[in-house]
Amino acid sequence: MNNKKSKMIIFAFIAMGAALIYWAIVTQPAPQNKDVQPVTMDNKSMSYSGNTITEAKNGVKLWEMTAEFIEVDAATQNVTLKNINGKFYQPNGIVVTLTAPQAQYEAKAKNITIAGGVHATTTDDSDLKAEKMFWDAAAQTLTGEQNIILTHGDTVIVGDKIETQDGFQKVKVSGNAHITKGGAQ
Amino acid sequence: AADRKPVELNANTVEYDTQTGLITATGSVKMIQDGAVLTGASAQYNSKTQEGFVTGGVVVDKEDMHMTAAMIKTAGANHMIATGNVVAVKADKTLTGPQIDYYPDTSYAVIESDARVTMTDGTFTSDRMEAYLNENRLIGTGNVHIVSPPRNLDAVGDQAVYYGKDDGKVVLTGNAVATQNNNTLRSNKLTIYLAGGKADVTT
Repeated sequence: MNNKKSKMIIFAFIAMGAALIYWAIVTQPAPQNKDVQPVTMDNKSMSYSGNTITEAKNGVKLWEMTAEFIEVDAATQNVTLKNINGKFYQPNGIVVTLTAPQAQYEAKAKNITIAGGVHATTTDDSDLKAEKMFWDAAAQTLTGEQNIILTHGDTVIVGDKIETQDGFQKVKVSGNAHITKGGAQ
Repeated sequence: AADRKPVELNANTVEYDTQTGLITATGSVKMIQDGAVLTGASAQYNSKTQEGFVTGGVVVDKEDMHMTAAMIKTAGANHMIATGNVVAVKADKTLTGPQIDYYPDTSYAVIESDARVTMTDGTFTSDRMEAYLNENRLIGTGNVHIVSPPRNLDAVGDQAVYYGKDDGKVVLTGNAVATQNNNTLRSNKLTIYLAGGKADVTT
């Protein structure tokens, strides 16, 4: 009789344990960070939404890129960004803020190609429009290409290509360069 | 300042410093300011001081003035300093010299040395020359020499003032000598009329 009774007690304990485990699984809380959508993993890449990529050198932030949609190639670590808002922090203290429909971060060289019509402004009141821009990490140079229009005060410069290493304080415009100072363009 | 005139500059390459206002242009440079068009190989322009220069086969066109030089400096919109084989042509006059200072707003030019003006009435050379181009008036100082082949006239003096609108009148002063058809006149002051195909000389 006793043997039967102890079997029943053991069985009850097992049942309670199983119920406890089931309860723990079912009531697992959803991820708290509301910006991060559920991560979908397929065999090619991982996709994030509403995130920021940052690059620093010796602890000094060089640039940051926030995008509505980011796709990372798992093999190359190259990143595709959509609807971006970027900031480039220049050595002379000037910050270049830009927006563009898309950008491509090349992990190996740490270069960035920003395309689809870029609009950039600087903290010392320059305004630049370009079809695309390129950040050359090695040369620490920002280059704008195609339909360049740089406005600074009453100076307007147009051309095919513009290069700067200090947030458009000093610029080199090449190809059909045209500068107007002190008058309508 | 009120007379700050807009400047336009085209080139293959333009470098610009927003802080200093310095513009450096290279390759097929074309600079336009207040109606004056300067072209050359390279240029530099400080938009804050409005001073600049264009070098390399420089050509300037402003209204009916056409000037060529090795280099042209601009000191504001109304002062150009042309140096290096300067040739400036306006109406019937061709001014040449190692340097010509040209003031577009008053059409006034100064040739500080080795001045030469060639015109319908003849050739006028002197050490220094002032040209009031709109008034068609020239003032030569030092070693003045006037040659008028059509009138077979040769005249020298220390100073000379030419009045193009007054029958080509030339007033020679200081050691004035005029020779025409083997006749020679010497005086401290001579007046010559170059217009009308002949030259009347009075003392």
